[in-house]
Amino acid sequence: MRALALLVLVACTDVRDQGGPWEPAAEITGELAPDLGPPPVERAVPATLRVATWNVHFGKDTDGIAANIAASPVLSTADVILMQEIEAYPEEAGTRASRIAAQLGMTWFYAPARVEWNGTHGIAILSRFPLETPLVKQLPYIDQAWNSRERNAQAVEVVLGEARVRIVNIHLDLRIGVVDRIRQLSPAVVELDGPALLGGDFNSNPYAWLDSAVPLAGTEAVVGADQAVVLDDYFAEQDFRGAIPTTTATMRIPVYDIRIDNLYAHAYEITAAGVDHLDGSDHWAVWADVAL
Amino acid sequence: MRWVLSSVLAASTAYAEPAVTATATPVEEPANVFYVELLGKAGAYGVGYERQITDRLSLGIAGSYADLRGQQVSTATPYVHARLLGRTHTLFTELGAVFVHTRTPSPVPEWEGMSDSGGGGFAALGWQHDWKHVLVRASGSVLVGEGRATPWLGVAIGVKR
Repeated sequence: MRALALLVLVACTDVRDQGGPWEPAAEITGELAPDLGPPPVERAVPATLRVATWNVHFGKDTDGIAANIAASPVLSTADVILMQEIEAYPEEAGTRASRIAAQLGMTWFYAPARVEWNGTHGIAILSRFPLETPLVKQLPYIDQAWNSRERNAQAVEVVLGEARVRIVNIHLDLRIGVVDRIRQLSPAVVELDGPALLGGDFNSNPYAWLDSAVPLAGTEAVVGADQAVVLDDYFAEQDFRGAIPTTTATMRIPVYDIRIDNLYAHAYEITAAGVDHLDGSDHWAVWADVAL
Repeated sequence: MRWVLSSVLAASTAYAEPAVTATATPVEEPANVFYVELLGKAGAYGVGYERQITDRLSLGIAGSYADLRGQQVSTATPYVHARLLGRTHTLFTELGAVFVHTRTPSPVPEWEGMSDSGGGGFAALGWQHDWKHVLVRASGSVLVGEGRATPWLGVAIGVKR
């Protein structure tokens, strides 16, 4: 009976809007104003760009996160790190992205998606090279049975001498089916023109969902076509190549190893990629080397 | 499939009651069960049918179709049901196969969508309560599929004919 009541309760998921346009970061004011760091120390342009993405699970322990990155043979050599689920609070000495970046000698671009308590929650790009043309995009809002949240994407050009590399960072909803996931992701992908690297936490869990409430773990387990498979099919049709396969876990939960984070390259060659099993978050970091 | 039947028969034999012999009285209970299931072996829900073939064993099939905010999931689940202990409060086990077809239509113009089919197996252990013409069940199961195994729960209510 309780399950029946739950089904009635939750049959109200909806897509409330189509998201917003790509907005220049400088034009966004108020509580959701982005935070951008100064240009980093100048360095030689590499032949290969190492990009990583890591959901830092709120990023509260900035010292610990910075120390984990610095201690990792892989992530300590990353030129660009995309972070998701990172926050900022007025009582803290700067945004968490800025504090982590400063300890790593990187610049930063923090883009809040929503107000959280008396602060903000969002995504960030950390870079060892200067950043240009920072943009922010509100993604389509998926109205769920509970805990619906604003989601965003951010885009930036990494300055590598005369060249520019467009990088996009994304964090999608968790408790949504794959059709809504593609609907939420699409605006951030189709409006890109030219070569780009796109990464983030796509929350591509291996379930179909009963209206954002009940994960149908059984049937999806049998089919084997989890959301990561569908996501890769979508990106392949847009001529993006993924860094890691669907069988490589980026998060461990009871029973399942699931790939919910990844990096995708359009018109760039990924020469090496993998997962860095860092401590400090419920996610692991995905990294990729991209030939320039 | 042979190992599935063997396992069920072995389990059934292991719990056989001493009084049961080759000349036991004929089965008096209705031989057919029609039921609906929530979150069971057939996915979000299931509609099933069972045919009793011996005092302890039944053959069954359950299926479902669901449109989950655009993603269409169809399932078919043939299985063997075996009563292990009890009469009105029954401990039972089920072993079977699960076939699933998923179609994901595209919500956006730049993608064609995709579909996929897969198969796997399941083993369940559950409790059943019987009235004269009605039964209710609750079961826990393990589904094994393409690269994954997962626990799952289900409840069902059925009629006996």
